[in-house]
Amino acid sequence: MSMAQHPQPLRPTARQRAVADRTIKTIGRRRVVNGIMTGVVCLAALVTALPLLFILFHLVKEGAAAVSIDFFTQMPRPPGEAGGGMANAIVGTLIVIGLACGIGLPIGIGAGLYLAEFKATRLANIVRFLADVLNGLPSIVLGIFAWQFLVKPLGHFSALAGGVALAAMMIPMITRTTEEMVRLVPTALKEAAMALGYSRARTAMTVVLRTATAGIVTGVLVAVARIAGETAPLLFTAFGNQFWSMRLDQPIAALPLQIFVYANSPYDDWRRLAWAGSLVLIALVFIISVAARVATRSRVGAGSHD
Amino acid sequence: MSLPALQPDPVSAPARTTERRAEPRGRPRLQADCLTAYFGETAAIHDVSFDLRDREVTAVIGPSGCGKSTFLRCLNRLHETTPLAYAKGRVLLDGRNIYASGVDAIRVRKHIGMVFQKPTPFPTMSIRDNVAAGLKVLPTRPSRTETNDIVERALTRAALWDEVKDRLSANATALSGGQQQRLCIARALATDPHVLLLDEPTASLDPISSQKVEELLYELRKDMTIVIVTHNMQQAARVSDVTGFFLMGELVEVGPTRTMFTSPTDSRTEDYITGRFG
Repeated sequence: MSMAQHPQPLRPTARQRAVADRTIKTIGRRRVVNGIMTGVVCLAALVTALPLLFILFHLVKEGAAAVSIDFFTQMPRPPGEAGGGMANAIVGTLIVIGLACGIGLPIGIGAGLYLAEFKATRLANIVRFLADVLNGLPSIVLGIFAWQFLVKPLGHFSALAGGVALAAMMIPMITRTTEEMVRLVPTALKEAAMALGYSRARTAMTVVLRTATAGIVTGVLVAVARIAGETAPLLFTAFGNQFWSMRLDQPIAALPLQIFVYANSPYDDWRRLAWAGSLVLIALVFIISVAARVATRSRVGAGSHD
Repeated sequence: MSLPALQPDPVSAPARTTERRAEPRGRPRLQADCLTAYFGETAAIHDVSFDLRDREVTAVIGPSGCGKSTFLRCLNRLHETTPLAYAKGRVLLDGRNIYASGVDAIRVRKHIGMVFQKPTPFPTMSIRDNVAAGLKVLPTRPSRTETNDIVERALTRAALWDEVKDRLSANATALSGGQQQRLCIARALATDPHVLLLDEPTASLDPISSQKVEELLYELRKDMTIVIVTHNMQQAARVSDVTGFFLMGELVEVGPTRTMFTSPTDSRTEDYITGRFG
């Protein structure tokens, strides 16, 4: 060891000794401050997780009892009659989300691809800015917008109007995620495709988008999870429906709307169903996320794509 | 100062060079004629005229930023895919100007293979699909069985077949760096191009993988025109028949590799080769 060359340890200088003395003197106080600060940030971390845990606990406590087979298969019953379920609202929510995805995914992904591939153009800059503004728009405003342009001219509420309102929420989110993910695809990969004689469009579709798929799917999931629980945009669009309806041009039931109505009602049965509905809604969002994640993982790993 | 000891030793290294020179020289397959390439206002290469012959490996050397990669990227019209980039002048492929108006750059690229510095397998595709990627844009798409044959032939030519034949459907990113680079060479060979452009193909590879790629070039040159950009002068000396030296966007000197490395005519070439700059 190098210490072998210095059998006598070096003597500390006056300054080093002063520092050491101060360290010894203040060590107790510093330990206390360290402990307090650790406690504070730990508490902050706990408080962050607490609302979710609290919500879940409360939902399970209040709603679990009302979640049964009936809840998924039965129609709502009039107040006072025991039992009943939200089959129509569950199906309605799925239909409205499906519509929103059907409209929002192609537009959002297409726009994101444009922003990434033509990033410096004037149109891209304008669209990027507007997408960010749209992203921050209160969701009820989107509901009013859909009402103004779809419900009012057609003369009645409809599932389609609900889908459009939610799609308008999804599009900016998906656009921006797609843009970010596509930008992460290395230029070298694009050039490799171009060098094979791929056109720009083909490169974008078969190489760039496919490489970015996992990231885009994650972004889409976040968007779906967010719109699945939206109530405000559906209030004057999908409107809600006490009866079974799968027609796109008619008012349709949706879980958030049903929860809204039931939770505000004076009937105990209905309020219990509202709890159950909340639980199912959260579970639905959770299942969508997990399922799609699993699906992407296996797809990216797999080989052939003829 | 023992400068000569640091120099590449082209005389003893490629023993095969001697036998090479006995063959008749191939005809010019790709001819750059007064080629100038711009990035916006600035010219990255200036007034370059360079004949690239059949059955020869042409090495392009020069210090960083001298325009050698830009030159290579002009040969298959990839240069112009960069925003604001364009080229003037002519490049003749088998006597036909690929920069003539009405020539489709995308079609040109189908007939010229290219390999890049970093291996660029398509990460979402299997090994087989990577090799077959170029076939999908040919005017006549080969059938599934034909494709399998072509994939096998291309992988064999790229000296990769034995290593991957049992896992063709595995993801291409599972291969090692050196294998990925040979996969990219196989992908470029699958469409059976007459010209292969390589932009520092061994820069990110370990010595053994680099050697494999070099040996591969020696085999491929028997029926192709190969252009390789390289930073490594020993590599240029080992693999090439002809060497072109670029400096600040100009083609300073072209000559048989042996002459270039032993008795270059231009003093700048000599300075670069003896390691006085760059």
